[in-house]
Amino acid sequence: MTIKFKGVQKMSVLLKRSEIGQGIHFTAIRDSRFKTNRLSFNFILPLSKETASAYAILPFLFRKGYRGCSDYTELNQKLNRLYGANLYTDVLKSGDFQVLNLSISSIDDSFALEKEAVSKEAADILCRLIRQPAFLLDDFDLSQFDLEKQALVDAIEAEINEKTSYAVQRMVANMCAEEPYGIHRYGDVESVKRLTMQDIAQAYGRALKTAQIEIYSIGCGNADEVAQQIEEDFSALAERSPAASIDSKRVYRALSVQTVEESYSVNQAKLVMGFRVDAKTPEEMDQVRLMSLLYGGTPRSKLFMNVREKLSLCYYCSSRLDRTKGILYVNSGVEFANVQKAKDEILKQLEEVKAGHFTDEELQETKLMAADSFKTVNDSPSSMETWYLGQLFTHSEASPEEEAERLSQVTREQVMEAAAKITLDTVYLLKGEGEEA
Amino acid sequence: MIQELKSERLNETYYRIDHPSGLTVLLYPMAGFSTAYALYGTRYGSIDTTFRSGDNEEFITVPEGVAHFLEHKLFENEDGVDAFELFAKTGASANAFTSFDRTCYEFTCTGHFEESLEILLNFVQSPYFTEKTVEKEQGIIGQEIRMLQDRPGWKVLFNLLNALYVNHPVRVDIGGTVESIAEIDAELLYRCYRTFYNANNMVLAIAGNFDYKKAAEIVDRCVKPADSSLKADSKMPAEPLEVAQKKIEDKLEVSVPLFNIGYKELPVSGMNLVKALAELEILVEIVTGEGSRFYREAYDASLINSTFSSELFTGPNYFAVLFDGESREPMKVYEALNRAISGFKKNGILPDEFDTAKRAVYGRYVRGFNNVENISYSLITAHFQNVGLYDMIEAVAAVTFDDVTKRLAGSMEEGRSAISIVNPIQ
Repeated sequence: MTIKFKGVQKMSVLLKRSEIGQGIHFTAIRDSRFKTNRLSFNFILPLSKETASAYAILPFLFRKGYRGCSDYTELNQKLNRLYGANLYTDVLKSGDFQVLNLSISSIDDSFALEKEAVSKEAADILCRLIRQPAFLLDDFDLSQFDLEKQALVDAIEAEINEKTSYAVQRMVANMCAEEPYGIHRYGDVESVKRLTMQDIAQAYGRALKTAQIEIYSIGCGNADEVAQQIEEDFSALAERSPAASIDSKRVYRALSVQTVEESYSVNQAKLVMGFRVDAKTPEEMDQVRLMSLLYGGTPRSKLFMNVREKLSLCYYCSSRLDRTKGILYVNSGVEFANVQKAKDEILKQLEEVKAGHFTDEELQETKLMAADSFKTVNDSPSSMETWYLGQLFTHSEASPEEEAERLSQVTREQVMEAAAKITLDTVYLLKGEGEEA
Repeated sequence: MIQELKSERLNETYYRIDHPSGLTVLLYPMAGFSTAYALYGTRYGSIDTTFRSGDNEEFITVPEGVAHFLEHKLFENEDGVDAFELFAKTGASANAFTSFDRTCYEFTCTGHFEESLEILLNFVQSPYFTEKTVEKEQGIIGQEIRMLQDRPGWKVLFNLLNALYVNHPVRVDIGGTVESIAEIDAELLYRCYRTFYNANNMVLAIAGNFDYKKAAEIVDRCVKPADSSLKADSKMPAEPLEVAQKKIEDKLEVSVPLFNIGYKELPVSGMNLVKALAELEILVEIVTGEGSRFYREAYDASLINSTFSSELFTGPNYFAVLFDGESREPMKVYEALNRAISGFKKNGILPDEFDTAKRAVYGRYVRGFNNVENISYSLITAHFQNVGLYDMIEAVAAVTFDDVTKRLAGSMEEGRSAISIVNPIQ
């Protein structure tokens, strides 16, 4: 049984977020429990069809090196000598925004075999990669650029390999075809293919000038030196014009239900249903969040207990809320012949929640499970970062414990109302070839 | 008797209890953490398909997928209250998994630890199966199997294991097939349960935020003594070092071909295994890591991309070095890999290459001690390998240039390797 419900969560550690430049924030969390130090940069940029691919390729190009170490094999060897300092780059989507993430995590100096200064050097490498990237140098090997373009095209196309996540992505693309949120985090294949080095230089300049930059330093070592270094490095970016808002466009209600079916060579159909969420205040969103957990977020939820356990229709059937964008998804893998049955039951269970057909005990248990899983956030440097970065998009600084406290205030009536605030927008079905209703 | 185990290197401590019931208990309290992660595991996985319960019994062979099926069914109790319902009252998040050589039940919590531990110990020790509940599960697991059949990463691995192994049951899918699980009934589940879920075949590992003395008390109260008349005895067929076939291909809905390449190694156990793992991990880093010439050339020739990775795959009587990734030309990756390995075998390793790779691997193991779940899982892995938790990192720290050179001579042989490819349908 592989059901993991990951919620999130308060901390006993010191959190300090300060503005070190226009639109540049630095958060330091010192925590002696960890054996590592992690430094991480997040560039938050508006998603748009025109720029998505040029931004998306940047994190991959940053890995090619920096002035003074412009060969990526040399860079990787340098990281290995720093006890395998983990350089990680990724592109995420949060609401209508693209987040370019670059992080480095290294063991603390105290654990090095010869107590070398590992963490400072790792942090220094990350800053150089961002400030003096190899791809801006005159002698940059253009074949490396072509390789990364191809790699990005391949990554977009390879998403079909994982049918479960692919189906969710296709549902979102259809549901939000008219909103930035519908754009893939890597942009699209055609745009990637058209990219030139000039586009890259422009995208890089724009990212440094206009992105909201969130920097996190989390670990057991002293962060003062790192903070000072970053402040020095980034004070050169004094003239910035960061976008004022990181709010996403919201659609509160679906006017009609869109149905999309696509055929692939698969054994099992994937059913994804997308709902619009009519929650305008943070309190209303909390209510929907708890409702979503009770409806399909835990192994005691309505969807798990009925669609899976009672009707034996599937291995997984769950709901998930995207608070930033105000969309709720229900996600399931079923036999094609049972798709209608599963869909009916999923909607029926939503009606059950709306009608208040759940016990006080179920409600209490859901709150308890949410609170418990929130609190696990504090035990990992990366999950802490994910939590606080995610909070920014909902204008909250609440810790996992504070958030749990807020959910615990939600009443039965509010859960029922929350269920009434969601309307079905899109039904996406990924089915086998030749399967017809 | 509580035994205290310390690591000077990491400044860490954990406790081991050889409980009178037969159960091994490994307790790793971590100051300041919020989460406790408990794993209750049995040395029983998908490879245990032929076994007996005592020295004088006949061996029986059971359908594929029983261990996994049993894992699902243990969550149900006789009074109709399933384990999830009980955990819901403590707020813990519960789960379980079955792999080749083990089945583990787990929970994560940040509060009500003691209640949750009792629930975990009790439900795993209270089997209850009926024909009706078995039938219900056949539908659910049938969908789980179908889901995995659509997962090319899964398919490409099991195809490789079929190419690498001639007889060893590691070649069989962990969940079995829709057909094999149809043969399972309540009686069979009880039989397997009695054989493998005996305290002396099991281990409890807990890491994170909990009081180890209270945990030990709960174990005293809840764990039933092992039935000493039963002894789980799995029979593994003789397995040659040669592979079953060099190449296996399949077609699935994928964009570019996926590949898995494996090199069969001589299975070893205990401290010999730990030493072999440490040396091989460093070797693999030297030969194929992101700082290697192989990686550079293959990446620049567009043969591999950042999905390329490696794994040391080991358990009772099986041991292999695996590589996986995506490539338009998997056979060329295979050839380049073989060339790189034989190049090192012929020309040797540079001391600096060794030193760099060793640091990288060592750092990985230090980092692992950041994480509650990883520690708990590693405790169980070490126990099933008959070693202690710190033996692995100590082995890495102790590896010398000569060790790695010697290991290289006898490992990753082209003649004992195979490739599995999943091609796109069109």
